[in-house]
Amino acid sequence: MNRNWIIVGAVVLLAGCSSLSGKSAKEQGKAGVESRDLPTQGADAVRPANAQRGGDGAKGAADAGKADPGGAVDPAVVKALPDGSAAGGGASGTRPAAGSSGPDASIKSMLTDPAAPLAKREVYYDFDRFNINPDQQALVEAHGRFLAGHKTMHVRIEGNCDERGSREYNLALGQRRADSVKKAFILLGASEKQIQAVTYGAEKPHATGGTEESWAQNRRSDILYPDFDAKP
Amino acid sequence: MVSVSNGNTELLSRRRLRAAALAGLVLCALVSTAPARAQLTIEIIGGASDQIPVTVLPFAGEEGFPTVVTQVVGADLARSGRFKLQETGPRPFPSEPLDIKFPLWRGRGNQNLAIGRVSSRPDGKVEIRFRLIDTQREAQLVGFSYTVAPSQLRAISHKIADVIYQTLAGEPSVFGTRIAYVARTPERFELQVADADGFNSQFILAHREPIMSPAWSPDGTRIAYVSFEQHRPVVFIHNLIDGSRHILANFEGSNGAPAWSPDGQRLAVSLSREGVSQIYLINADGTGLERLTHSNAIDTEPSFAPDGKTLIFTSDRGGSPQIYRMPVLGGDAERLTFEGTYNVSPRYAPDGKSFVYVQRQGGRYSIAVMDLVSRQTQAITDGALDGAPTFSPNGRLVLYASILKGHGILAAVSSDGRIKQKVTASALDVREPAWGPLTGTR
Repeated sequence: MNRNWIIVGAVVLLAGCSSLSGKSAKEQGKAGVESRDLPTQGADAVRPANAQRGGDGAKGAADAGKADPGGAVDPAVVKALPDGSAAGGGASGTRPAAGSSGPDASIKSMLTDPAAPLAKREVYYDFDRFNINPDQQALVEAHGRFLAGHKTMHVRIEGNCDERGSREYNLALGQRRADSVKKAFILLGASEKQIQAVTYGAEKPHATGGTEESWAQNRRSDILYPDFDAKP
Repeated sequence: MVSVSNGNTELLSRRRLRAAALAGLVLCALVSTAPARAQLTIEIIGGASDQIPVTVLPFAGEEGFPTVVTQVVGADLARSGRFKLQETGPRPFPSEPLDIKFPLWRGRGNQNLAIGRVSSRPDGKVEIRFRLIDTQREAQLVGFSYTVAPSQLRAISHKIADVIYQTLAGEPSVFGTRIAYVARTPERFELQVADADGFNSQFILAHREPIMSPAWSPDGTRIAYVSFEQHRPVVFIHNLIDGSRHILANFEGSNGAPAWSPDGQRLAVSLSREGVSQIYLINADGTGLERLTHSNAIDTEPSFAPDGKTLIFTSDRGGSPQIYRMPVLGGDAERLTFEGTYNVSPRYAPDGKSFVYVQRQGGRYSIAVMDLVSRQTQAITDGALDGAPTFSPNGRLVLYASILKGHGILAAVSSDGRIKQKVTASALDVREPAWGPLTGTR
């Protein structure tokens, strides 16, 4: 652990110095010098908002700003960031939908009470498959009917794969998994605009054991209700 | 050599800027150690049977500098697996042709002898003189003199190794090229670029959200990649010269698998905007989107042939992911892999005669090469979870991702499978390597 923090600190410091080198990089550009070096690291490169054209700029800037080592950022600030793995990123990644009603206590308890059917949020798959298995049907139906009955609710489905094989193939497969849940919800009466289906491919495994059991946990779609789910 | 000295002038001024700005703070001591901690280290296993003998004698005066030139040169040559490094013999080592006692070296079987000298100049620069001598013919094969800033000694060492490799092996050398890969730190994902030997690693993007699939533009000035910073996969193009970026593909659904056309004008990407992921062509500025494949299955991981006329890609249109080939202008796709039920991640060799890919056999994922003429396949690794193969630009080596004790590492293997290297980054989880082109490295 200790060593890791040294590295994090070192990376931060490296980035800090590199941002200075960015200045000379511009001069280098003017002088027409070839591209041997990587002139820009650090501040500019880390801050996605700088480069985004028509994207979700404000959010990206906020996220990256915390990790931005361009200034005198204490390594402890970096240390305090939540881990980018698991459900945290997904949940934090979605904003409450505009115009949604305030947190409704009964809906909240339906979604979060461990005993409620809707508290189950993970749909599991066989290897290299995206069809919804019979043992996952009840869960999918519960959420689909809930969405059909609550048309102001928004749901985000994140498709995931186990980490074996091709990351890009898994990216496409994760989308198919999320889309299959989306289709099922629509068949159950939900409307398309309630649903966002995205893929994380093999990038956000829940389990890292490298066993069949862990892989099975990673082949899943996560059903998230951004308006109600707790933010990390 | 003009470009070399230009570049070094700039580097020198950059050094000075940095030094002035930080005014001797401890920071700069840390700057120099920071990359070392995250350094990739390389371990070689095996070697070619027809290795070329070469003797690299320590250069006169080189010990006085932070980078010992012939250590870098020797490590490069050894790592290639193409050379057998001979013993240096007793001191004093010759540094000029006149000092060489030819009968002695011939008698020891040291036919190819590299000699040189490193010295400081009054203006703070370093002069490196280097010659490669054929001791049989008592003739100089090649000789260069470089004047550089001290910070450029490592780059010049790679250059010298490149000259030796090209002179003796008669083919392009890749010691001066760069690699890109994704490193996972405890806090975030970093897209890093390093020299081909793993040194000088620097990140060009860092984010809490995942980064994947870096792809170098053919001129080495840009890298396309997939970033999840918008909480979904979006393809960006990042300019390494000025650090600017733009979005290449940000459509509904999945955006991934960027691959550059050989002329650098267009990319192939895999998009799910019309349903399941299909391959599209798009101009590097994000205009001119054109759908290329029309299947109702996953089509992804395109790789352009060097002539730009065909693409190979992964598709599960036949029920399992397999590798297919089709014309870039459109047309029928031809299935190329038939053994096993999982063949993915194809990448053309630089000569277009073969491709490298990932195969699953008995639950193990390893790297294989298929010859496009004979259709013969050969496994070149025996790992359990190998992936993401990428050719060196001279086609000699394949860099790939592997897992060692639950930890992501990079490894390299010669494209004939005979020489294996482990390229490990301590304390970092590394994956998704992409070997940069020969151009754009200086």
